[in-house]
Amino acid sequence: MLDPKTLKELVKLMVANDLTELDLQDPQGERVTLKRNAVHHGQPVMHMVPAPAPVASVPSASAPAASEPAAPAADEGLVAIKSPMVGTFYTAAGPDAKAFVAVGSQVSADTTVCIIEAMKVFNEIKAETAGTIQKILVNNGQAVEFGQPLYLVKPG
Amino acid sequence: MSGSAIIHAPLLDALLHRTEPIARESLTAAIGLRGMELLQELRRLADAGCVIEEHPQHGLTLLETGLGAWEDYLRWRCPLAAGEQPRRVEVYRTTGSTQDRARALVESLGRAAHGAVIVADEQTAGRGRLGRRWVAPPGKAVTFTMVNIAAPGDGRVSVDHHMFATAVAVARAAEAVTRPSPIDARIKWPNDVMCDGRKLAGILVETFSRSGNNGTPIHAAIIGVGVNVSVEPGDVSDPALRDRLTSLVILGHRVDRLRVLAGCVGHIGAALAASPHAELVAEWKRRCTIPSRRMEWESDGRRIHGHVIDLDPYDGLIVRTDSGATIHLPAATTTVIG
Repeated sequence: MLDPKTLKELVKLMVANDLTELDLQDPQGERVTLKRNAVHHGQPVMHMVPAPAPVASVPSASAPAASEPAAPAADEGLVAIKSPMVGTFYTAAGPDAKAFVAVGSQVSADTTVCIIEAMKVFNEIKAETAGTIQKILVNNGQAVEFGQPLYLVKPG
Repeated sequence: MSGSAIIHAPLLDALLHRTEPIARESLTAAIGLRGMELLQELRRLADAGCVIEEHPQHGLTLLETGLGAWEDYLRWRCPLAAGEQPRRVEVYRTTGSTQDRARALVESLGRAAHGAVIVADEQTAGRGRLGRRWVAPPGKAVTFTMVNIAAPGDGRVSVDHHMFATAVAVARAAEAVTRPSPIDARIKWPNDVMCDGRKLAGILVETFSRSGNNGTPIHAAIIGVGVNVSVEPGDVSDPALRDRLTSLVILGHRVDRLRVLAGCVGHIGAALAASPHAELVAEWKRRCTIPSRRMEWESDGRRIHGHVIDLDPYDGLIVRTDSGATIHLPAATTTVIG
């Protein structure tokens, strides 16, 4: 697993070379994706992506423990769905429409979880992770910031 | 979901209908905005994503409208009839299908969804007729859905009526935005708008009914339209598809998508409100190309061979089959094989 120093170096490299995304995978199957928004310089967003499939050589006990400090939310083992933009958060397609998801909803990477309205344009936000919605962190109609966690998902 | 207007719609309108640059003084004369006021409104347009160029000698040119300006402009340019609520407009950067969104809107708002327009810059699961997919590169086509709810007591809505009225309306809009040298828009039965024998626009009409709040039924038509605005041959990877489609740009007309959208919405509203229908039917028949060759169709699981002898907006194709019988092939269940 990456140590904070290496991580810092990578982020520096990204900024220096104006990269917006970096996807690394080591021979053990550990994968790290770093994303930064070109407009918001110096605000790298980090997603820890679990290894795609159990690989025989991965020491099963140590790997999850090592990734804990980098988990984006305080809730252990949960992944946050974050707002990719500044805007207004909506849980449903219309005022009386059913919410896209509720606590307990199963989502896949492609599931639309909410709409964020920015400058009169509606943006459907995908879960981008598979699992179960554990917590909704924002109220319908609330203003949200870039990178603000909206939902917590239990991967699986 | 949206609050008050963020852009000055008449200013955008003045810029949108110009092909030549316009001086600030002429804009002031046309819409009454002057000095700092004008500058501020131009900045707001830019904030909404509009790309405006200013040449010190010639003046201002709108290169492209921004999605953020579409809702305000459409509500201003295409108001619903007096006495009705303001038109609901939703602009999506990406959505699965504008048809699904429109249906959900009718489910949640009932009659208040009448006239709503759902627009998508990109559709990921766009539908065509008979379950086919509608594919368009993002930013190059106008894809939208308009909701039309029948007045109370009007009974069920007819797919055929909405289909032919919309086809005429889209053909009219395509001609209107390409003036002064308009294209010749034809209709290929049942739901394509063609130019030079290639597809310029496609139409999909779905109808459904639900019970309203006070028990009276709501009959809704969900009208989906896709117009190829700036699609170019290089944007389409499938060679068979490439040969069958055209766009306003291919036809030599660079028109902003917002103009096409507003034109379609305005003309569809007018065509659906038109009565008597006789004129609309006559125009539809004039625009329809009736192939004279022997053709093949599939209708309700049967293969049919014959010649088209006439068209009817409600009954569909009137066909003389090879066996000598005269039959009607309704649009909703018929596929043209070749």
